[in-house]
Amino acid sequence: MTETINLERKSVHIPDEILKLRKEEGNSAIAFYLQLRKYLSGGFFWAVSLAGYLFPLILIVIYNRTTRDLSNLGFWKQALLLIFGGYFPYYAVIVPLVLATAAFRDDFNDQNIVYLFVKPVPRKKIYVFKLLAYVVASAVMTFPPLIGIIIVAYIASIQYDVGFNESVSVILLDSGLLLLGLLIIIVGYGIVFMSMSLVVKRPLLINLIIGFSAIFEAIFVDLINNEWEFPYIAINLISNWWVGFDSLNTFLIRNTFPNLSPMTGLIHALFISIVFLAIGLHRVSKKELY
Amino acid sequence: MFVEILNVSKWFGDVIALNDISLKLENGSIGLVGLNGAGKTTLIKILVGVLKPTEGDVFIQGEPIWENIDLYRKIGYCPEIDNQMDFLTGKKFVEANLELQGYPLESAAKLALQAITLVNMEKNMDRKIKGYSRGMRQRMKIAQAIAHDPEILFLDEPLQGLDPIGRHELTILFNDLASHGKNIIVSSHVLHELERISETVVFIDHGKILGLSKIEEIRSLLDEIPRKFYLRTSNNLDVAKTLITLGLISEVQMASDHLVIGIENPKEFSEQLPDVLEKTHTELIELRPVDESLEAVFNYIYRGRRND
Repeated sequence: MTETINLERKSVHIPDEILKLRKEEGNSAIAFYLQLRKYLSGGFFWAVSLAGYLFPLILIVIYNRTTRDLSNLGFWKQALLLIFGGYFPYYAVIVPLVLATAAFRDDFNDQNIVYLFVKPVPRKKIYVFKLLAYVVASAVMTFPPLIGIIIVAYIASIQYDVGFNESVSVILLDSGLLLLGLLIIIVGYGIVFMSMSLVVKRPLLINLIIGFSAIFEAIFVDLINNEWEFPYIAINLISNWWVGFDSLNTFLIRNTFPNLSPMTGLIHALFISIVFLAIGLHRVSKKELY
Repeated sequence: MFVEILNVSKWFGDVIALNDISLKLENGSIGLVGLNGAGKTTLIKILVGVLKPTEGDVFIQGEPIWENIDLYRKIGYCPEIDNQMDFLTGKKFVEANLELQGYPLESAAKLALQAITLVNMEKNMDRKIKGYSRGMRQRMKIAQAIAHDPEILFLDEPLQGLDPIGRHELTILFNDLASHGKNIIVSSHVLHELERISETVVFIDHGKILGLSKIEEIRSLLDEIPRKFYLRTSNNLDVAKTLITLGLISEVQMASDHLVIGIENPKEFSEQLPDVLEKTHTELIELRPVDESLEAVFNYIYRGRRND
């Protein structure tokens, strides 16, 4: 196909060959591309990611330097407990809080959303593709430290002949389960936070309250006890489906969280996600750009 | 008729931005002119469907615009905002907008190049928008608005931030687009800009439409409006004396190398000035209006209409 565009002419001219390639509806996947590029091009994104990547390792080093013998099985258990039971739940809430809240809020604030809205693309699709971009960006932020810790712990356990005595398939299965739990938290909170950013005027504040209510409850109300909150649902799923991976087993407190069956947990997670997804999709269709 | 606005009002809380506006616009290039805060941007946002009127209806080519995404195939919009996807290169920005219009990437790349060339940005198109000047950003915004060859162009303060050459180039582009049958609605607070782009001018003030005038009428009105001019000649003193004697100027301020003169009747002044220069054996170096702001014209028209 050889099209020629006459640049002499001081007007736009679209040759028929190109014109007939135009689809009735615009390519909504561009919303995914733009959102992901926006996330990944931010210095803040990589600074937080790097901190996330390094933090577990730093914790292990500090822990090792100050208290424990590397050959002690308890060290690894406690180090992992510190990471997964200490900082990671915060991280798993903060990342969605920042990224999901910003997805629409920033575009409305700087008004760049007009470039998406004044196009032959359904706004609901823009929402969905922004959500997908958020999930990918969140995974980039949170998955590597989690995978890194599992690898470090596994290598150390071989070196010192402690823990992780299971087969590789069991370790992979349980590691996958951990990632699944994290994904549930990311997607669930992402939908909630993104939708809330289209509903309220100060989404960051409201989302902070929503996101951290689970953690406040975890601290002040005897561990995580709300079966309608994503961290609780995720941990219950993980503990119920846990196969082996003994070094982590203790921290996951399998016997402490028998209350929520996997099916009930999934139904709860789906129910909350669908309700907030419906709110978000409705709001994005009606939202005005002031 | 390509735009029909019926009894449109828009409230932002307790503040009324548009107050019961009705307007029917025929094909062509239309200027929206009003002071900052008059309601131009609100009106354009309603016309492109990103704001919903609190009351009333808006139709573009006979169809309601709100939640009507099919109309966006026909619309190009250059918003007033300065920020635009800083993380992209200029070319990628225009390409992305074309893909959102339904063109596959390869075609989008060709059309983007065409539009970028029309706004003279091809040399800078591979740079990140982050490093662009305000004028360059403005050009790229216009490129994305025209790239898909829309039937209707909504341009909100499109010449803002451009240098005189840029203003001139883009004014010619807009005129060419209009001559190729595009309908253009362009807003500005500078009447002088619209004078060269629009066939018809709509005056907006405090959310109300004061009136609609053909550009010829505005031009003749400009000739009648008392105005101030910057005048620089080879003999400022003698010229000032003669102009006062002939009653052609109502006031004069002497500066070291120029005069600022108040003129009641610009048309009469322009007819008689050559004779004055000849009588005083003076060479004209520079003559330009110093208060050709919209405010001056607008106040004059508004005052006149209120007195009527």
